Amino acid sequence: MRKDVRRRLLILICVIAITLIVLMLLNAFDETMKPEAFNYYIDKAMDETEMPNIVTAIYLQYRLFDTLFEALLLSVAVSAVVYFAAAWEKEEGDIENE
Amino acid sequence: MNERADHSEILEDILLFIYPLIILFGIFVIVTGVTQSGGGFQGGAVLVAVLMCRYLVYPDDMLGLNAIKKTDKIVLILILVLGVGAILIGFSNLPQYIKNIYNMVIGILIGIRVSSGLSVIFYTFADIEGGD
Repeated sequence: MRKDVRRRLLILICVIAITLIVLMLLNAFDETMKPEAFNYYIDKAMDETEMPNIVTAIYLQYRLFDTLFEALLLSVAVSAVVYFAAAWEKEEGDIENE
Repeated sequence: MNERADHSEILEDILLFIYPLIILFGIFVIVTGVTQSGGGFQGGAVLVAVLMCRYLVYPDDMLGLNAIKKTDKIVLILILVLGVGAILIGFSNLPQYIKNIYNMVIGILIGIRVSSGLSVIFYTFADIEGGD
């Protein structure tokens, strides 16, 4: 059997095994979490924050750090893309020069 | 001359007609995001569609990439300053009209930030793929 076929078969078996385990785990427990945060936000978000809607209240008040760091995360992604693109282009140029 | 310079005129005409609609829709989504569905992230992503369309029509012309990068950085700093400032001042004690202005301003800033960030990513990839 060729090497890449064997590798693909192995990956397939792993994926099927993981799927089966996840499905079994999903059905193994019937506990559900109480939606406490959900109820809290629905009940109190409007009074506490005085925002026009609950989604805005959550992403600009309760989860403000999340919003800020999400903006920062996009920055990191942009920096990474620009950096790797520059490095990749330089590498291409070096190969062409040789 | 780029190999894709022989673009379709039909595409060009239709996209020129669609540009203002996309821009209007993006601004609408950003501005109404405070009170209705939508928001800065979504509106910003809609606005990037304009640059993508523009790239389809004029692949050689990267519209002010350096200016977009600079905008990206300035707006990020503004968002961080406003956000951290709001926490330090104590946002919930502020009067209602300042809160409304703050929500609107930070929504618009996030919109600009997402659109400029995604534009830089798009242009960088477009430059790599279309450059050779």
